[in-house]
Amino acid sequence: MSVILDVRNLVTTFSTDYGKVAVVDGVDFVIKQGETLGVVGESGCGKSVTSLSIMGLLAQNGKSEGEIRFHDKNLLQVSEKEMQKIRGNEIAMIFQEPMTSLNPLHPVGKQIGEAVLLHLKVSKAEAKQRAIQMLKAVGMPRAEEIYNEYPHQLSGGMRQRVMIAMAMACDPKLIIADEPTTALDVTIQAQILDLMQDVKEQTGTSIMLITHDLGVVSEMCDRVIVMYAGQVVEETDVETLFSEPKHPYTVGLMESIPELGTEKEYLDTIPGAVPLAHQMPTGCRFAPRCSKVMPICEQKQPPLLELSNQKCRCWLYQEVSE
Amino acid sequence: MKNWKLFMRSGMGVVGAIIILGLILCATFASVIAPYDPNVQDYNSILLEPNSEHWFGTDDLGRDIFSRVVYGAQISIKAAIVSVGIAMIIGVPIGLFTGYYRGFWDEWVVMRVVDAMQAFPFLILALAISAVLGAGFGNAMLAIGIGFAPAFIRITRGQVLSLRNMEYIHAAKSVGMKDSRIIFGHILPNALSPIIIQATLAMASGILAEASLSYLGLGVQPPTPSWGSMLNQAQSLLSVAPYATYYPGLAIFVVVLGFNLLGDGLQQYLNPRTRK
Amino acid sequence: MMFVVKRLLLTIPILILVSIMTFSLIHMIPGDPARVILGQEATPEAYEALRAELGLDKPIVTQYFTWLGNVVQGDLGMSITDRVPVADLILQRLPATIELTIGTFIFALIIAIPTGILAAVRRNTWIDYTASFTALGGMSIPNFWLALMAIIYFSVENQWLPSSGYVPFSEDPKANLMAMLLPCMVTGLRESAMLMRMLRSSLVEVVHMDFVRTAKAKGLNEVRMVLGHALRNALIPVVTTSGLMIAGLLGGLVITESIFSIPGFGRLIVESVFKRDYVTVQGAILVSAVLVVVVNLLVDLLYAVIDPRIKAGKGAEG
Repeated sequence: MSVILDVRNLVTTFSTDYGKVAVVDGVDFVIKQGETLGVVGESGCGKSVTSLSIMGLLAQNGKSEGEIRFHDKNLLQVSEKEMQKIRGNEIAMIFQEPMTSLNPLHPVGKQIGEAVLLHLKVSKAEAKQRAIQMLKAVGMPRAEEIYNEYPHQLSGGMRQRVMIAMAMACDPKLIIADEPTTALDVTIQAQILDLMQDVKEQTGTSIMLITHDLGVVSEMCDRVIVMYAGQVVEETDVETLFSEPKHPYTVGLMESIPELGTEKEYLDTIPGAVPLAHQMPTGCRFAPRCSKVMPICEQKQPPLLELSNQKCRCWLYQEVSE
Repeated sequence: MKNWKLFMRSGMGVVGAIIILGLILCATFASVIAPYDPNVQDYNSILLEPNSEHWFGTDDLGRDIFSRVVYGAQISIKAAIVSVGIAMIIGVPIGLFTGYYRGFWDEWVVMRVVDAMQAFPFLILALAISAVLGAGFGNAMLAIGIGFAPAFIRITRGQVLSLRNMEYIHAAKSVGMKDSRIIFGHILPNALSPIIIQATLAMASGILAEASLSYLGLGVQPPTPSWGSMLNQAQSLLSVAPYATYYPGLAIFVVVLGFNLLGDGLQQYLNPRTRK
Repeated sequence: MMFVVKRLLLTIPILILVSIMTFSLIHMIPGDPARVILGQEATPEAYEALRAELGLDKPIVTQYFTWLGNVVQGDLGMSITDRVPVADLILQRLPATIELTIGTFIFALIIAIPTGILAAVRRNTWIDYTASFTALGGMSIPNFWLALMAIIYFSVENQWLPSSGYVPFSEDPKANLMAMLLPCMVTGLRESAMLMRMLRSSLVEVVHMDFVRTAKAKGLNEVRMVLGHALRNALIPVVTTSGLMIAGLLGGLVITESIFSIPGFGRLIVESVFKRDYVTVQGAILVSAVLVVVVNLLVDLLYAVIDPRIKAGKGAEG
């Protein structure tokens, strides 16, 4: 499988009242063609900012450095004009809030057709046909009528289907989905995930799926990166993640999932909170919350170590890798 | 670069405050600043262009325009304080009580009257009221004050509505505090900042309105120097003495701008929504 | 549909209160209105005749309902000084004011929309600061002074445009437009300052909304993103407040019409005030308030056209 997105040493900083703050600090990962990469972490760990950096959609005070290689281009160096040709065409994005991510004043069909009209050299009628076809593809009943309806007339699940249809409309190579099911009811979540799985199988597109829900990861992903405080702390395939998680943070995440049939009285949670971006500890960023903390952890940042089945940023595995 | 932006954000309010301070000084020390008596007519120096003796020139009665502009500050500052004072005395208590007690009076009497009053074009209403009551500064102030009152009712009431369900208000009620103490001791202080912003901006409009009425001949009566009535008199001399229109108007503009700048600055400073 | 009906019903109490306030106006005259209007030298016959005409000899409630009954039929009374129906006087004067209003709005929109968009998109840059400061300046200029300055420059010193000489459009379109240009520019400048500020702050809020980010994620460039997605959303609050602007504008026209000698509605009020023709003043004020109410009604209905959520009877936040 060829690599379609290669992120190297991505550092995204925001200038704030506290000065420059690195919200994403040296992130590396690749996405291969046709695979689904899960990006997991608590809120504030930098996963959404990573996705916005790829899309070039950061707020005005944000800036990315490093390399984001898509095909043979570094997305951090292409012009805004070139980036516009990539957005929505080769890389598309599905956002978390289907309620607010659609323009309330335009019919949904027009919003889907807009990207088609923009990127593919088609007539208005063809764009409309494509939009209706997309609405059908995401399982919307009465697609022709829905084409003319406004977002407020649709339910949350239907709006998210519209968002997916919009993302698929130009057959992108990569779809970035930022918590696509978080805002939805549990029953609708499953439908939307099934739909995304179908889309992937039919079109062979790659998906970067950002979530904090490990259930979603086990169902959808091929590979996973776990992020903590702006860094990748573990990277592995989905089987290894669940069978032998290595990083204490990942282990903590696993233990916080309620399991059916087990006799646990309390769920294990990770004590403490993510350190703020402008006051990072000097050593391992997870050390203040870690149950297996060692003297070295508080002095030196661990590198991302290459283990047999995974990569892991933890001093515990230093000798194993050597 | 950064300091420059910071100044643009907060500094304009300071500029406004300085302008207003200048106005107050001008009004207080008018007799010291003005080189001539503003009402003394000197038939030997009629319609003189601006020169070293008469900085802004003289009008058709030989009065020194600079001195008249300086004294005009007194009327202007009075207009700002009196008109907004009347509006606040009417508007703030009504807004406080209707917002606190709600009910029939609030919904069907006060708010509908406010709606109806705001249907009248403000200047036309002020014009009509001062026409009916008779021309003069006091009546003009009353007319402008009444015209401004609805805005104060609305803004105070809106604040009270958002504050009356706060926990500390419930707490005050639950310990048996009297309504009047809750309203004046707890709600009013917390509702104050938008009222102050509104008052500052209303002072700008008040000065403008007084000048407009005086310009139309319904406000301050001659010979009292007021910027509006000076413009009224200068208008007939437009082709012979255009300079007579320059300075009174410029004075109105600068002072109104001062209040608007201060109001805008306060809004950015006090209102967290626009603070960014 | 429900929205339209509800909105229509809401205007009824406002109109009733407006009529009561207007009616009260003549009774606010200190002392005896008939005496004040006619002056001390009037003959007893003339005095009695005016009292009867104004209905002052009847109980006040009867007076109100008689007056209201007439008003509803389009009878605003007879002008005290001109002895013609007030309604006719007003109808005669309205076309010039309407033309002035339209011209003012066109002028204001031409200035306000591009500068408002530019200031919002380039927020916190020197473009934004310059535009915002200029707008605040525009709002602070007394319009009668601006009018005088414009006359000095365009008419007295350069003779480019006439400072007076209104002729109806139907008689001489070119002369009419020439005479209207300066007044429209003067009033339009102030309105454009207010519109620009509203549009800017509204657009600044909208530009940060999720759906604008979606539009950008689709690959739209900044121009299409702003014009196609953000602007229409930003215009909703602007349109609502511009309805309220009409009241301020009508007031401003009183002065503009006086300075440029345009025989409009505002000038009628000023003339009547000085002639102590209180019946005409009363009629004109009523008409101006009703105009404001009607314009605001139309604006709210327009709002429903712009925002599909209103038609469905849901709130704007749905």
